[in-house]
Amino acid sequence: MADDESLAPPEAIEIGDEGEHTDEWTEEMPGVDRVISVALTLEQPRTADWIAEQTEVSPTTARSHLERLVDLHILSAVEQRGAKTYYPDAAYQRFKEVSQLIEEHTRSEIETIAVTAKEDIEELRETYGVESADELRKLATAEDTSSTEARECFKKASEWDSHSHMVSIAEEALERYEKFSEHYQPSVDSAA
Amino acid sequence: MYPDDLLADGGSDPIGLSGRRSRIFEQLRINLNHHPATETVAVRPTRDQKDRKLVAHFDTQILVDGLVDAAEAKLEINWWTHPAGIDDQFKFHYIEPSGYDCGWHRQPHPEESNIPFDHFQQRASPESDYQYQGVDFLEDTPVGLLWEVTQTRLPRIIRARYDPETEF
Repeated sequence: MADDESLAPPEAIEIGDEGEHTDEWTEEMPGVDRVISVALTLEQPRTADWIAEQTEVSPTTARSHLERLVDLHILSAVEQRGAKTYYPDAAYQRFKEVSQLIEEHTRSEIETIAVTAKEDIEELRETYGVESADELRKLATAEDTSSTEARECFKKASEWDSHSHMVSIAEEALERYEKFSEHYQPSVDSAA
Repeated sequence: MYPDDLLADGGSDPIGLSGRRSRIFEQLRINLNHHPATETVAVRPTRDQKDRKLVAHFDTQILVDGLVDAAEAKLEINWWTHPAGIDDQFKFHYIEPSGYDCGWHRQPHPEESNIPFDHFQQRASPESDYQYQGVDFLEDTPVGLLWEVTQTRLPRIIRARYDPETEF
């Protein structure tokens, strides 16, 4: 196939405002799972109506799922400008991440994860000559920074945040490792 | 715009959206696992080893009803969270064993400032130059975009390449 022939034509790249473009999502994942997926990735607290629209469930169904998730401490709720909004529960999410790290890794692996993340932060600090991800974002808004450079700074700041987050989760995991790993040890049949 | 309480991995975050990027990766992984054509999903290091990405292997027999010769193709996904009020950056990038690759990105081009942030790019082989076209995404959320790409956008591209009779 010649190069040009193997490329998709422009009309295949444009799609209309098709109602069916996420049918497979609604077929493959139940409404509650769609609500969880959207609620846990929010960039700011959102109302049940907003989440209903994004997840293709009715506002009543969304509200019912969201309230149940608040009961389970997976989400938190807060009043904003007279409307109830939902967002991920920080304590629960942190506990879950720490627990997962402990379940899936040995102590020594978690130590390596923490050290690697710190090294990656150090490299970013040296590359950009700033002390934090926030400073890197401020650099992005400097007058002589082009919009492309600004986006690159934001991207690297996001990676920096990820490394900082991992250091924080890994350090807490190491503090709690002994206690948790005892809890997750399968019971041994002493008679065997 | 940049208050003192900027927190890790969530930007301006007075009420606890910290860790959003890791939650996005997790939810994208879970949703990919629900996709009928997905065979495996894994978190892999990026080329420079300094970041990570999601890599899903698709069974193309299921993805486009056996239209593609290759038994398997992969979709690589990355997502960068930004403070509220600034669009996140992302890429969904499809790679075929034939050498063809294409992707839907919300990212600036490192050199060409006239390419829209929201764009589609494709090339016939790693030796070719990319061709770009602006796109308007329909969905607003990471998982919504995942299904928009995997259900509608990607199969359209594959059909257009392999079946010249396809009408759009």
